[in-house]
Amino acid sequence: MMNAKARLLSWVRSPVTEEEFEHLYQVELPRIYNFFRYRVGDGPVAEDLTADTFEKAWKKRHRYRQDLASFSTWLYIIARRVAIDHYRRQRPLTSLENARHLASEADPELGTQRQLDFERLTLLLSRLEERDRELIALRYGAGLANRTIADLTELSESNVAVILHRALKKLRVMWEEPV
Amino acid sequence: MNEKDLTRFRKSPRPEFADALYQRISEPMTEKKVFKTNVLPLRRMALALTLLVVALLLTFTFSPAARAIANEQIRQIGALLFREAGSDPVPTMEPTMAAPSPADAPQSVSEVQEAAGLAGFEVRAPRYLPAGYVQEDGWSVDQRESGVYVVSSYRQRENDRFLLLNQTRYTAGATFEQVYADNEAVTDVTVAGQKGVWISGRLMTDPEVAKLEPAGEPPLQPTNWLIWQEGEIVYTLFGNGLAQDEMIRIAESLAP
Repeated sequence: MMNAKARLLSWVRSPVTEEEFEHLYQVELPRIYNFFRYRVGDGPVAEDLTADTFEKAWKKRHRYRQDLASFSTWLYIIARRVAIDHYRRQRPLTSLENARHLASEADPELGTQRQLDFERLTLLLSRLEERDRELIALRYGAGLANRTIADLTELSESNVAVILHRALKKLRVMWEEPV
Repeated sequence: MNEKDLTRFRKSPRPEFADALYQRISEPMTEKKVFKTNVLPLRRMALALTLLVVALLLTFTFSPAARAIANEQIRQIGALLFREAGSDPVPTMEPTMAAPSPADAPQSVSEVQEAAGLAGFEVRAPRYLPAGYVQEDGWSVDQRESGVYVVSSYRQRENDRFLLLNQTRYTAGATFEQVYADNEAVTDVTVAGQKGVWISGRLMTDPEVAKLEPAGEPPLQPTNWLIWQEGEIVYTLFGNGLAQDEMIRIAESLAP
């Protein structure tokens, strides 16, 4: 277990180094990518926003403060801002037309049926409130713990759990409706 | 539709996308300047030298970093460089030392003399502490590539206050940049006749809470920092709940 003094020593360390960044890139790239997939759907937009997040993180790495948050948490703070900027600039891929367009591009990793299901999920997620959708993307896309999400969103951990539970319930109802 | 249904749609980024992105952001990391090897004639060398001098003068006069130093937006205490969030980074003062690996473990000793023996420099202890503060856990000495760190901690249980003293001899050439957050106020102070920096409002976790919950992210609270240098040792004293005059009084009471 890291003791208090070891933790203190970590506070006075240098900002993130190239080696640390490379490691974090490998670990966090899939998580950030899936956060955006659950926010804006599959396709090039998710890749663009992922790229934007990592480019910003690398450029601003000197502003990262280890005493304030883990680097991963800091990365999600940037990712959330990138998503907000994206929504300010343009509407997300929410229409059925977009979903159908995406469905035409087969994805070998997901498989055709699962891909169709994800496109339907993307559509249903777009009908949720913004906060619900973001929490779902953080929890189920990026795979973050409720506690981490609570810190990122300034909600309490129990509040996060309740919002996710309700959002999941809404999704379930919509999912069971006939297409 | 349940939790498992929601996670089954995750997928890996395309390898070509992952590689291209890494290549794009890593270019500035690996870029190396290529110098031409041909020998310049003497006249052209003189011209180049003149232009270099002019460029340096212009840089110093007009660059935001130079202006920031002149305007005291940037402060330096030993190896620590303090920069305001809005100011430009100083290229020559980028951090140069690798971060320590998690396997590095500090040594703990109970006496200040033992700490001094391990550290290889004179370690000081506060002769004054505000009422109720007691030292906990002895002294921690950590030898790292970036320097030798000696840490001691003090706590006042009644009001849940903590105070940490960090004495560091940084490796020659090591530079660490600290950018102030928007909520931090930074002022110049004098400690034992030496130039120092006072930072108030820096949000941190209580080290004891962090110890109890190492995997989590415990709540942050405002702390005050006093940083100064005497000889080759940089001293950092920080904690919650103590005002500047009390912290300076503690700092000025330090003795071997």
